[in-house]
Amino acid sequence: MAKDFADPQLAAALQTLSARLTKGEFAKVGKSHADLLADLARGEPLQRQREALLKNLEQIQKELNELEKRTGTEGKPPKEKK
Amino acid sequence: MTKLFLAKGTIVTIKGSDGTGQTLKADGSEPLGDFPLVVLLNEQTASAAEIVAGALNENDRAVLVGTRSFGKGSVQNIMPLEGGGAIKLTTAYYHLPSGRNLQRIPGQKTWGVDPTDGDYVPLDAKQTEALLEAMRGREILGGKDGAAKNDVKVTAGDVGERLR
Repeated sequence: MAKDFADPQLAAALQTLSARLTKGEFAKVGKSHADLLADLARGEPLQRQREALLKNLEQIQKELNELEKRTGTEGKPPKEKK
Repeated sequence: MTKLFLAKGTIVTIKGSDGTGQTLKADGSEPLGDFPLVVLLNEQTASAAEIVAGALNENDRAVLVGTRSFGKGSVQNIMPLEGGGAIKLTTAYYHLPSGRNLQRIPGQKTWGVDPTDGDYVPLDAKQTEALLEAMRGREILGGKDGAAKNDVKVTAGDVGERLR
């Protein structure tokens, strides 16, 4: 199912259910809680990095707007090079 | 919905800001019977779906496969204001039988429902893209009595080809 329908989660569910029906026990088909927590922890610095970049972008845009106001190029597209 | 699968046990507690709570329990009927149950969940599983998954899991009724759920566990009331407006106010949160708050609160490390230990199945970027592609390709077919049916018409390997 993972191969044919691009759905590894559904395939994993089917696998553990099949194990329960044929062998009497659900099979472990994925990663542990420790892996989940590690993945969540990896996301935190990336989130902070994203926020910092957005703040930076906002600052650049503000400075650019100020410059355009002073030079009278506000809202005008940049001149094309010949 | 939870009572269809769960005979006994706490389903959810709704706790207000004053600490008082209302607990919903299974009433012992479980009309669908006791059979092996696996529930899929991911970051798009939200609200009522999280309550069902969490209650079934914490009462040892189902195994959860996938990734941590969305974390929408707030109860909102709409209060009318003078002049035709209204205010939507969060008045309570849903708590699982273990006491875990479903709501994702900024800064907190736990929220929603986790898959069963050992059954965390995340998708990588390529798999997510392939899955979304497969879902976009689904044709909504007309049902028997006019109701839409979300059927999938694919040939074997049709979608899997994208993963290769």
